[in-house]
Amino acid sequence: MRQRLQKLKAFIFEVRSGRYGYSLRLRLFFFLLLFLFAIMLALLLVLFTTGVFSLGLTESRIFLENELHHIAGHLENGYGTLSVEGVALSEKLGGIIEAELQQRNIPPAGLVRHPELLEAVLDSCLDPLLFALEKNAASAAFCVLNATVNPALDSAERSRAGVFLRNMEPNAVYRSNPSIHCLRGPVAIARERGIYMLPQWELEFAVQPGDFFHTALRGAEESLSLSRLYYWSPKSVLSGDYEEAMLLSVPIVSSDGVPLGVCGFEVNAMLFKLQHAPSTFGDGRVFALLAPSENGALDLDGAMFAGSFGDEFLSGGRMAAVSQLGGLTVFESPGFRTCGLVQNIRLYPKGAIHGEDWAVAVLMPEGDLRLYAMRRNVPILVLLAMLLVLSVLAASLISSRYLAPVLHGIDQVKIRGLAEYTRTNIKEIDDLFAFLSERDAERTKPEAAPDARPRPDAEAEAMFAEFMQKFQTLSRAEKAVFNLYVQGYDAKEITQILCLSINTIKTHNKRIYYKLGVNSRKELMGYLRKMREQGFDVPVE
Amino acid sequence: MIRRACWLLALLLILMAGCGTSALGPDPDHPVTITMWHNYGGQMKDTMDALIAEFNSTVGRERGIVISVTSIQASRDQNEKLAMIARGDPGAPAMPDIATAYPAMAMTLWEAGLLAPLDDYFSQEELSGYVEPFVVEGRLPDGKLYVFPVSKSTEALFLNRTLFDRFSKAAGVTAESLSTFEGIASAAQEYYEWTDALTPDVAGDGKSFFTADSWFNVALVGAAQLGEPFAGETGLHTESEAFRRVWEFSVLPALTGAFAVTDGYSSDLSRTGEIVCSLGSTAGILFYGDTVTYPDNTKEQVEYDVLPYPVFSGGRNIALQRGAGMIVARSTPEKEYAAALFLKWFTSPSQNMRFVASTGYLPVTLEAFETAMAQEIPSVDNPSVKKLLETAVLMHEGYDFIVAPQAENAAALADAYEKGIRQAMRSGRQRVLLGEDPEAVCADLLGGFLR
Repeated sequence: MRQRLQKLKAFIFEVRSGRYGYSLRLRLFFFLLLFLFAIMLALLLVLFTTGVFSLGLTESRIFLENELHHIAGHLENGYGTLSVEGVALSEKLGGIIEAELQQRNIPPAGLVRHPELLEAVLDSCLDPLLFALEKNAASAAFCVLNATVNPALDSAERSRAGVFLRNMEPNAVYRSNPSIHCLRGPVAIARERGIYMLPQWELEFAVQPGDFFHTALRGAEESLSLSRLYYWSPKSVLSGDYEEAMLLSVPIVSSDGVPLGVCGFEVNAMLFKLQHAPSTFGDGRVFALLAPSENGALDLDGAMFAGSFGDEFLSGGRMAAVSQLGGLTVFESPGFRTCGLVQNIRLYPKGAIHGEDWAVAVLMPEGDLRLYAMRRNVPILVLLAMLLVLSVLAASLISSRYLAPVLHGIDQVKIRGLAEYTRTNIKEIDDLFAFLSERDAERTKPEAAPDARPRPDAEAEAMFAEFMQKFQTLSRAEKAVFNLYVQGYDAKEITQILCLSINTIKTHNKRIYYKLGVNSRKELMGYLRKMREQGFDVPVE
Repeated sequence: MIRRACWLLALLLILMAGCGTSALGPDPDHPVTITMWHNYGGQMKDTMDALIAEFNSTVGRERGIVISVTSIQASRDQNEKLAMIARGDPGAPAMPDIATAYPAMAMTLWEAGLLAPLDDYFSQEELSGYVEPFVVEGRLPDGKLYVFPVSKSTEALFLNRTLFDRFSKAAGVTAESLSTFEGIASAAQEYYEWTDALTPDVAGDGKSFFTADSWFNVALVGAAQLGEPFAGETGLHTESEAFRRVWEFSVLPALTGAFAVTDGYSSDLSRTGEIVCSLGSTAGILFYGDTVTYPDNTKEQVEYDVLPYPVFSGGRNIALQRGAGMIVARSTPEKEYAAALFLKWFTSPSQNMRFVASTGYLPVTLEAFETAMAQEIPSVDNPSVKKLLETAVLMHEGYDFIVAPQAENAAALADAYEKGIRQAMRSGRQRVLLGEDPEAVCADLLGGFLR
């Protein structure tokens, strides 16, 4: 190996120093290589201009567009249905509560002054709540009355009686027997119906200003229909609970306009994930968000997340668009960059008092997207590299094979001399050797004795006789060309004398050689010499 | 030259072929989604969620596995649905790829040919790293492992120390007396009378002291403590003295109101202050909370003690080993492999201890049980869980453990006994309230039950 390297180094040195010229094979190889690189360059240009190298990004964009279209449609439909059902639930519960109070001759506004009635009122609300929860794709249904069972407690201001029923199987794999547990509410009324308590159970709701309860209840002061008063709270955790969820709160209003409480549904993180998780896309972590939107930025603190993995990388804060990548928007949130598409979504009808903007986004981490795009190009790049290697090998092989007969011929001449070289069947090479052979013969002619003449023998006489017979088969035109050659004119001069093209002259030459059965000019000259010696006149017309 | 070119071409083809092959299991570029049902609710759900999220974003992402929890529900609800699947009932949900299940339920699914054996996915060395009885319990009649030990538990006595101290101070009953079943019955009767006496103007409003999550388990373990099997292949051994003692312990105090009877969990009654102590799974510790909420919404901060399982007088220290394992549905080799890989990761000592420390379950690997547990207990935040783990270690050293029967009819037998005894308690209580003698009613109920 080392020896070969040294040889190669020595060869390169000699070539560079001008001692050797470049070999034919090397020239041909470089020529083919140049041609090859030109083709590869053209191919790369075509691939670039047709967007083959951005195929990964294009595929990602198409996938995200489809997912966004699907998820946004599903979300709008699902949340719209829950909103309508929430309004219907509120109307039903309002009627039930009012009837309960009427039975006891208590006006709706008197509910707050009769805590002893709360359990009975909630008992009458429980079955409609259960029915609503079983009927709808929600993780919980609830009803919170604007009253507390113990107004004397210090915490009474923030405590509200109510019932919160959670479906532990919110994707409802078996609707007719859902697994429903009680998170808030009187134990007795739940036990009566075989409903068990959740570990986070409390008797009442702990409410605070600005939460789902107060925000929805405040809306009841407006003289609008319930369908314009409901409220979707951003993702939050109910006090004392573990579940992150969005709550739909609809005020419960009596027929005389007294706000009695709120009711509604919960969509928890698990249900949202099960309903709206995007399909998998390679190993990219694709996820969907439903988030409050403000000036195009998404509020991650209030956003619901759906993806087949944890959302721990979304640390909260705001996610704002910062740039574009392959038709996708690049978003930046604290410590994290994602790419994807975003679309505004309507959770409220026109004229609603709560008009917060919400947006749905289908995203993937920027790193995952770039990795996918890069991986998508790897097979193309590998194929191109293989094509290049194979082409270089082919160029080397072709250059070697193509010149093999030429080099072989040259080697033969070097070994055996011009007189005995074998035909290469390459016209130019054979002509060159014939020419050199003739020249060689002419140079050696004076060295022979002036009176030395070859002794005629029978075989030579026979060949000459045959030649003379063949000579008669030449056409007139061929004889004319032949004569001029005999007189010493070259092909170019003959074209001028006979006013023929060089190609015609070449054709005549071929036919003359063919008809006379001679293979070289040297052989032909030998026959002519013999004709003159034997007194034959070469016909010239 | 040509030979060299051929070699190079062959090498390139091999490399290209290599690009298309993958390691055993799913292809990371085309992840498989493994659906999971589990029964870790409440605070346990947070731990479970965090562990699953960690798996999905690390090992799962690397190996092309996504664990997707599609249902979280109580064991009994989940069992009901798994039974529907096993029976092939119309409207039954699709079988999840992984589910928590008790051996009895697994047996039903195994008989329906729905489970994948897990031995092929674990080496003998790996399996020997798990607590042996836990692995043995998960083997079904064909000798193969189907119920993978994930979260094992035992039963213990949960005592509301705050309420008990108040009672103890007034009535002189000590916590030591609760180490026997007879002591519990006696204390319960005293508590009922003491609470009844607190409101002299209202007769018969005494409060219950005790209940058990499973009266069948009380009977099963109680009979074993007294040296007689409670149930066999032919049914309950009702003729034994042990059965009579167990029955009297369970029913008589319930007739007088000293024991509570509920269809829910005992923790529900504990959180409303309706009982003082209860027998339940150590895995239920988080359900007790640290407050008692009374019907007028007043709340009391309370402290719980976790005491070793009580023993019948003259009996041996025996407790129940329980807890669901994870079963893997028979499906494609990729899914079965992915499910097994998750189980392997989930039960590795570091993950196992994280789960144990925040849920109250017992570790399942020898390394976690014997080494990591002792190190972990001091750092556990939740005082109840800390007490529970200390008691679990004590019981592990001083008790023999039995498992629930796994015969074909075992689940039905347990269910029938549970329903029967609760019905007897309720109807008997009504009779006693109407003036009948509790002991006579108890004997009558036993006769009726045996008939």
